[in-house]
Amino acid sequence: MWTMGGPRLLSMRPGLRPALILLAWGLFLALTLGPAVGLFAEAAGRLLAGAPEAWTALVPSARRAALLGRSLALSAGVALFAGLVGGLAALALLRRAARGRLSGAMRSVILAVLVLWVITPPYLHALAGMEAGNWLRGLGSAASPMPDLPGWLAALFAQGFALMPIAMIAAAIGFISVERDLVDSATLLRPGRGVFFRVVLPLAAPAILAGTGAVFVFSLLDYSTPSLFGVSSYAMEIVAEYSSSRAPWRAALIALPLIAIAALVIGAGLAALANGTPAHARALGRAFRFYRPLDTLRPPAMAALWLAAAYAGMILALLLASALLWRILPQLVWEVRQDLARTLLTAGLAGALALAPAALVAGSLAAPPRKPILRAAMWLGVLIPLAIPPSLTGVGYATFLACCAPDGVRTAGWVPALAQAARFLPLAVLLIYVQMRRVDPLLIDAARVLRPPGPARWWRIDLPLSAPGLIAAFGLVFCASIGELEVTMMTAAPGQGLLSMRVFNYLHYGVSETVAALGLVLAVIVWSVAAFGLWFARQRG
Amino acid sequence: MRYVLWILAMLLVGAGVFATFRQGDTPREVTIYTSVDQVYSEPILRAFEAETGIRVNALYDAEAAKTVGLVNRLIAEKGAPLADVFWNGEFWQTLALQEEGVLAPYASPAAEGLPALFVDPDAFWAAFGGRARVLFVNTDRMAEEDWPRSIFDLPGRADEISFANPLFGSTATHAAALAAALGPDEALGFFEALKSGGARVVDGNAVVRDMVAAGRVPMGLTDTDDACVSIKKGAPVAVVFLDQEEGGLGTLVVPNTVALIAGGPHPEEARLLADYLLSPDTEAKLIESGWVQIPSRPGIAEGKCFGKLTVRGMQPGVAAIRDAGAGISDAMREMFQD
Repeated sequence: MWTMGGPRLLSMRPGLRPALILLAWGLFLALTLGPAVGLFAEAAGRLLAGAPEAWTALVPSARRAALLGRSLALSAGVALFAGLVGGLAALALLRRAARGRLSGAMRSVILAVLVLWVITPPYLHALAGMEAGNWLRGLGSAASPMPDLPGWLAALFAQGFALMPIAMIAAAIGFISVERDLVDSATLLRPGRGVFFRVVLPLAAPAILAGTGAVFVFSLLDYSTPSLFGVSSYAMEIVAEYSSSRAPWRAALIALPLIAIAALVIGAGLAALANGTPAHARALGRAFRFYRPLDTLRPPAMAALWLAAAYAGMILALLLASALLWRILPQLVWEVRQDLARTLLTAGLAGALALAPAALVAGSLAAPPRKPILRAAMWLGVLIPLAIPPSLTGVGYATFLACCAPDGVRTAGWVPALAQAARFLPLAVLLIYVQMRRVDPLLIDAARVLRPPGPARWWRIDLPLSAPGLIAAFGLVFCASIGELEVTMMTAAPGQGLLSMRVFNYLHYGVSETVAALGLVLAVIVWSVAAFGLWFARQRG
Repeated sequence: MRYVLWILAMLLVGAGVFATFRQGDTPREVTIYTSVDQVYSEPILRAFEAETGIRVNALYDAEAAKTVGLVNRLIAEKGAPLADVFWNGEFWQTLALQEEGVLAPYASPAAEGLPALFVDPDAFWAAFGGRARVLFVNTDRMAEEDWPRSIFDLPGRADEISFANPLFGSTATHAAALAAALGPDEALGFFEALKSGGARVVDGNAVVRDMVAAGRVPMGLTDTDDACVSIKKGAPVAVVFLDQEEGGLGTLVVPNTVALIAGGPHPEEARLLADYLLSPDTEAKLIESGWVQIPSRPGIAEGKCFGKLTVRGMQPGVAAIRDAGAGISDAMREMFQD
């Protein structure tokens, strides 16, 4: 594990670097928090002026409080389901690896499947869930039809399965990171399953909790999946308030409880990671011996793994299996070709726009100031945008466009790209930061001996060493933008519709071959880019 | 490796060129905001493009924030509008735009032959082809003899009912129409009774349709176009046109409305598009596709779901509905939003 690469990768002329980093931070904060801050500023003005409608919006009514409670319950259920099944499935996989039943190629395949899984837009998981419901309904007879799942339960499963890889990857990292020596000592003192429950699980808990917390936050802020199953969510309430009140600042006040809860969970996750045991056992296989005590958990772990595998198989089968879908696909692709091309271009632009500020902000995180308070502020600045509901960011952008932007900007095709880049910037920063921390500083120093400072050094040394992180960040923003809905819907100009909006609008008519075919197109784009990214990462070791 | 990156970059550039390229590109264009579902409105707009060579830039609404999102956007853009035409799936929000001074008058020749009630006396909008508000029932969960026949039967069976948030779309129009027909107090009492009786308020009429079709609730209030989707799929459902007896209240018929936007950048093309949308041919196409069930002109094709419909509509005119709706809007917001 290399930990010093980041600051060195960013070294440049002394006067230029702070100015660029300051500019990048300004851009980052303006894009990610600016729209919401603008709405809150107006809301604060009205609150200070004593406007009664502002105070009404600030204090949740009984109906709104109940809705928030239901949304929290749904997200907690999603997190619990994803955490439990994902954690157990991770255990089963690690156990197989510990016994030598998981070859290197199979590990790569599993990693690829998990990455492809998690970047598939959530409403495509909902589509698969709806199709599965139709299929199950068909199993019953006319006299005794199979009952449908209640909407909230269907939404819970759809979101839970969609977000499960996050929990699974986090749990795997947690288990692998447990120090082997601690486990060996514990095994000597008390062999058996107690080692797992008293040593392994508590040590892996911070990563597991962080992953489960991430699932909770993503579920809480997403309205698309619950909406497709007829379940009202608090995230949707923000859009509804904006629509019904014609007062965007009211939407910001309505969003406050959601932001506070999401921020608390993110903060708790960070604190858990920060206070957790330092990870020493990074190399795969080094810490596997302690999985022998886990044989008592084998049946549920295997069940969870099979459940996850069956779900992944179902998604593929539902998207690929219909013969009619393949017949209509060429014609459909031709019909939506402009939406498709616009979608690719917008996502590509979003990825490109995110790169420079993300790289500079990540670089400043990798070379943090000495004062702890400044370091904490920087991390807060990066992570707080993740707690802002995308629907509120969308409302903020729409409000700004309507009030203050010239016609040329309001009709520009790049505005959704900018908004999408803003939405996924924090994730891009985190990805580049992680890669920067893994670059060998000795490698940089050795290479630099041969090159004087200047553009050539940046081009020949700095950029190639940063390339994996930058390409991964581009891929992440690109893939996430392809399926993005909440911000896109609010910023797309007339005649500039994107594929995700079309799929979501069509989905309200239920599952059809058209929707399945459009979903397949979206999925294939996202999967192809992600597969390329994984291949590239493998090439670079 | 470098080659792969070049290929990716070229693909992106190619996509951009592909997206912007149009054969025989024309400078003539028109921008429309429409709350009519994309599956129904897009083929009509594409046909207009093919017939006239005028490019249509359409902005479609999402189900969740039906109509109101677009209306807010039109009001916010009032000083410098991007839109030329507003095609609304109902009329209530069109009247709101008229009050806000967003609309421009235009007496379309295509509106000739429409009922007098369907044309604004000041020519700010014209209406055509309607959908009806119906009670949608699941026939597996409810025998025909148990079906309610009047809106007044519903409060007593509120826990069996689902309806869309009455602050949006045709449910908002329904609330306004009830206020016009029954008076504001009785209309508010009706919704209060439904709410307190356990009726399920959901995000849109399509959600009501799906819940009834799946049997999650025995019945719900929705529109005929939504009902038609489930009927076509063979779901165990039926529609009830409420209050059809002689002297009864009648059911709400919700026509489409078409209006020009004041100060829109393409006024000439906007008039052509408005004429096209108001034409009998377009209405026939919309009946064929399932968006419209109740023709506004005689002799137009029958719909696939309901055949030739004769529906007793509610009596209040649009002006009365607008006034009544404005009178209950705060109370409705308090009941369903705050």
